[in-house]
Amino acid sequence: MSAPEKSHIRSMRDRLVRREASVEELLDDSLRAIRRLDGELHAFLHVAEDAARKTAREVDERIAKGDDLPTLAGIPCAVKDNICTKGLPTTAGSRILEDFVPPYDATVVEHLEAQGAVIVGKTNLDEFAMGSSTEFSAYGPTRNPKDRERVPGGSSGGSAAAVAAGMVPYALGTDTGGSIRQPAAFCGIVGMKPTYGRVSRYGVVAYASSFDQVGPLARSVEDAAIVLEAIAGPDPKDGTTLTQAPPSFDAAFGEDVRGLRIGVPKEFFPSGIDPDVSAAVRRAIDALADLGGEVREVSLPSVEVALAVYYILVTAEASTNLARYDGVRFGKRVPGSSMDDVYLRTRGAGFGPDVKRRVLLGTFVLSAGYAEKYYRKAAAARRVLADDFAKVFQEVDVLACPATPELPFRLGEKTSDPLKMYASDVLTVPVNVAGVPALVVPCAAVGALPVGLQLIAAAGREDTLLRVGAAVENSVFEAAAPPALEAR
Amino acid sequence: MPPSQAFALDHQVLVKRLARLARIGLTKDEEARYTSEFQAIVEFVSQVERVQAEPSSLKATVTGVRHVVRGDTSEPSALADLLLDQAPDTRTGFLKVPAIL
Repeated sequence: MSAPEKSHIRSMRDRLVRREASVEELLDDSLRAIRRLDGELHAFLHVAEDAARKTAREVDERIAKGDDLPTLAGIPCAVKDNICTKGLPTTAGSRILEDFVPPYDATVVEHLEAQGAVIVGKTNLDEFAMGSSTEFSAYGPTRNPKDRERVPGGSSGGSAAAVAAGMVPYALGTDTGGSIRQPAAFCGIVGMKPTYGRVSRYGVVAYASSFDQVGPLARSVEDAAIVLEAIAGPDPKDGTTLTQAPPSFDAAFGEDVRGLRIGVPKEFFPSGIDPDVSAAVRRAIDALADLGGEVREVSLPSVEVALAVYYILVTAEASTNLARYDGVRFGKRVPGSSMDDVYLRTRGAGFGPDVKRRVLLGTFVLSAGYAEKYYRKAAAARRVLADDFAKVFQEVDVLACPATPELPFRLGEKTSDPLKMYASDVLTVPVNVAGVPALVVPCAAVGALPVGLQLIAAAGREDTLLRVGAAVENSVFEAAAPPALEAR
Repeated sequence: MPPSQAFALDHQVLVKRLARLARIGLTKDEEARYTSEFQAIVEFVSQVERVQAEPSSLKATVTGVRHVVRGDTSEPSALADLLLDQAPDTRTGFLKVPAIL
């Protein structure tokens, strides 16, 4: 295991076990931090104080009885607002789900609740998780705790900001094309996109079903591993979950990187990359070589078209997934003169600008006469890209590269140019296209702004990511301590 | 055929038609904005033509995971009423919508 003080979950748990704090006191710390900071940051869409307090008291009672409690019992956390929580609003950042209160929990939420986790609230996101800055939330943007004039990344920007500001030790996010990793990099925390199928998507508001994965955002690699272990596993309610149970990740923390083959993919250092980001990442890779990693350059030629492949396939899937918002069964309805008029008005008023743009593009690439040229071609290209990754993982154990081509950008900088915003995901989308897992760990700071190192492994090898991530955390870069929860 | 030529079609007509297909009512401003953006976005995604691969059979999955299908059996669910409660308008256990015919 990594040094115990790096795991905020374990140190909170130690306080509970030693009776230095009650679960309710940990919750109050968290609520106080939210009250103090969230007026400006806007990481949360809903704070669920009553439900959280009820859970906290139940766990306190179990502690008083001397029950043996799971690792996450009593630890506060936050959940991205596109993940269904029974009895708590789930808006997906959209007006069309403004009053939606799900009658059931997502499987990942059931897993957290089974451990006694205290869900403090639901976090802000780009509408339907479509975006890279959290500026496309229908409820207003989230700000980056490291620099409030800058975006926290997206779409899991609320989850990243809540963790980076110390409001909660961990949060759940979703990652369709980088929505966990890019905000983790922008906010200077750890974020993991698991192997496709590792975590159930049941109860997660669907964006692009063959890409979407739930994963943790946390302040240490070990915390990310603890949360992943809690939420992972086969689920009969999601037919795409991997059938084998996830491995225990403990062993990954006992090994160093000596002898590990680390590939540096040249396509992940494109010509437009911020030189500060690329230099910082190269220094971190050199440090891994000093620790005994065998570093070599590798190539994944098809990565150059990954962003185009991605935007064809995800918009196609989104255009069909979002057909369910029709004002009939749930969500907003705008009255109209006919059924067709209800659809047009409901979807016209309920969807925001980038959602409309993506549904239009998805409709285009699937339409008669164009599906062959775009959708089916992109589906074939996806296979080529997945094969490129499979080939490279015969040569190396892990890839190391930047998570983003830039430092966190300013609010408003890219909202008027969709292609510029999409390009922010250029280094994260190949991972979702190939279905492999990736971990982002902070590896440097340029002034106050963090730089994230992205580690990518073969499908099913989250353990390798954690092993290298722990080495970066322990020996390469010490991330600045997040603003501590207010002293009690 | 270069992408720009492939899209020598009228983008305003195209955006209108797509919005109609997707059942999204657009304001005049939105229509103008999407029309002005569409060519650049389509040209961007046309990079996919550079990949040497036959159009996919659509059966392929990247992770090799087989979709596991549940048995086609019905079972009682306590959710039915709760789900109905989510609907904007209902009458005697049915979803209520404007007349279709």
